[in-house]
Amino acid sequence: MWGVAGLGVLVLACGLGPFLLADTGDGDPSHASLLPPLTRVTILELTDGRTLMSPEVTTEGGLYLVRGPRSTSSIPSDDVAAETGTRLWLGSDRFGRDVLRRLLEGGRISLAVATLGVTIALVVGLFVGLAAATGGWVADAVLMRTVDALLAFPILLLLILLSALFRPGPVVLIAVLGLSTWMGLARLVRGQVLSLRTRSFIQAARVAGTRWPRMWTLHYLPNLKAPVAQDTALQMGNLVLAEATLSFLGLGIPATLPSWGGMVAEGQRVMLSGWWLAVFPGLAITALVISLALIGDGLQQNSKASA
Amino acid sequence: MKRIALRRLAALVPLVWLVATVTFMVVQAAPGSYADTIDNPRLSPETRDAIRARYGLDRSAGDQYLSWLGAVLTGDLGTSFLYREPVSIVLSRALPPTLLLAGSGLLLTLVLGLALAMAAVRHPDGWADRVITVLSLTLYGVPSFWLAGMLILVFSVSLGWFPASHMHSVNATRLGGLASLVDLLHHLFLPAVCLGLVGAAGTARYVRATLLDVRASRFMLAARARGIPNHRLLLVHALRPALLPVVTLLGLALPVLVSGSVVIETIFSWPGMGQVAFNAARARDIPLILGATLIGAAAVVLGNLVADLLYAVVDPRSRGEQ
Repeated sequence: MWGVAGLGVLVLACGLGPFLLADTGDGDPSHASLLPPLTRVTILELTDGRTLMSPEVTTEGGLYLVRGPRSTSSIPSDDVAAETGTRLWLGSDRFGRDVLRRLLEGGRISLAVATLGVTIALVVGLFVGLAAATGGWVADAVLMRTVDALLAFPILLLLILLSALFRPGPVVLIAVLGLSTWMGLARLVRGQVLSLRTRSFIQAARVAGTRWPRMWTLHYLPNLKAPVAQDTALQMGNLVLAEATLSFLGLGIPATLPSWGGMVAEGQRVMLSGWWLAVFPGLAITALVISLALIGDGLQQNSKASA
Repeated sequence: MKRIALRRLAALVPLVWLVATVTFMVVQAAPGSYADTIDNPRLSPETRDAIRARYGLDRSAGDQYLSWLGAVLTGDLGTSFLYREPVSIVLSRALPPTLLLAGSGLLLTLVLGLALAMAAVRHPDGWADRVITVLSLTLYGVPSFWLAGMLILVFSVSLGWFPASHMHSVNATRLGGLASLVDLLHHLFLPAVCLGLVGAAGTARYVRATLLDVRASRFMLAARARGIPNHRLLLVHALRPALLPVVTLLGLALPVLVSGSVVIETIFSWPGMGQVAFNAARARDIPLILGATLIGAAAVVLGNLVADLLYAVVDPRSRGEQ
């Protein structure tokens, strides 16, 4: 399964990566701005807590000379607490921050937003679908007309509207993304349950007088696993793209936090002085969406093979 | 069939009303108003209040809603705060560029998507299939805003083959008929390709999977046994049932024809509906937000209807129901 492997690598890298990389602090805008990938830099931690970073650091008579594109700082040796060297694998951005570190930290946020958003969509979609299929015709009519109405909302327009109006933090963003994507799942679940209800084992369970909590958890849910898992993988890819798009437009993750969409937007503004700024976060989004699509494909083939 | 279509058309009115009403409530619930989005530190609080009164924003939400609804019923969508023009004029000016861009994108999506899928299933698991599978999977995962940036970087900035933004050159008004058409197509190319590539990837993946399913069915075996040549099998016998999911995709794509792609239009400065809606949302331009949402929601409902009608044309089995 390439998809699982890809997702695993991304999750591991984002989860552990920031701990394994050399600590570059908040970056050094005056000495390390827009360094290309693979540049070797020296990091100086000063006794006052600041961090200086530059590809060219030399010592001269008790002074550290830190060279930047426009200015050179000289630091007395006594003020330097620690000196480390590292490679900036994906270069640095305008503010002299390590792109790889920001990419991995942004990935955590993207993954968390997509996972939590899809969980909300999953819970609401399952509940509404099951309730519509088993709760009698009034519940079915009300719930399904609500789904129709919500599907009539132009989704991206709605997301943009909500984000522009409320300037959400990650929590509101998760809620908005989750609550705008459960409708397809609800339809899928309703259809599956309606067809399950014609099967003899379900009819036997109903004739035996099984109450609904037991019906739902013991009879319907186990038989919904395959189609729901496949749809969820697909939806999660869509959520990742939606979050990245909103962050790209400046309406998603706040600019104070790193996010893949936001990094692409920032990188495209200075595309000519640093191609790497926009390229790598874009590749990261692509890799994540492809992994999720492959997982969806694999689940579909599994369910076909067992059918 | 006709009765179903009419019933669905009748259901459109309450649905669109519901969407507009919810949108109105969302806009009202949000903090701030158009008067607060004007970015001018020298604006005194009194002036802001005057602006609020000028646009009727000082009235109660219910009052604003009723007067907006009353005007809409007489066909008046109100005046945009941002553009200082009637909403209907702003929207009708933005519609043709969006139709042109989204239409070309959709055409590319269908042609390219179908062609790739057919080329892939001619020899399943052959080299062409593998290349197309990897290509369409990659394009499926690429975010459109990133693809747009890369296309601009390569084809506008580095190679200088295509303009990076807008619909016309600055001197377009002085160009003759044919030259201005060429100028328009020149500007259309990159955004349309961007829309088309992303759409074609999804379509190709979908149609390829369906075509493979169809190939395995018995009527295909029977057709093959009758000695029908391979290309005819694919083009005539397998394609028609495989078009069913495409019809559904088409129904989903129709709203984009009218509402436009916010991302692509913003990146390429294309003066269409997506950009107008984006600007309206950012400026809290209530009449324009509501107008754009009304049209967008109507397009979604109509798109679903058209998809269902087309479905009946392609698949005779679905006509019998109801």
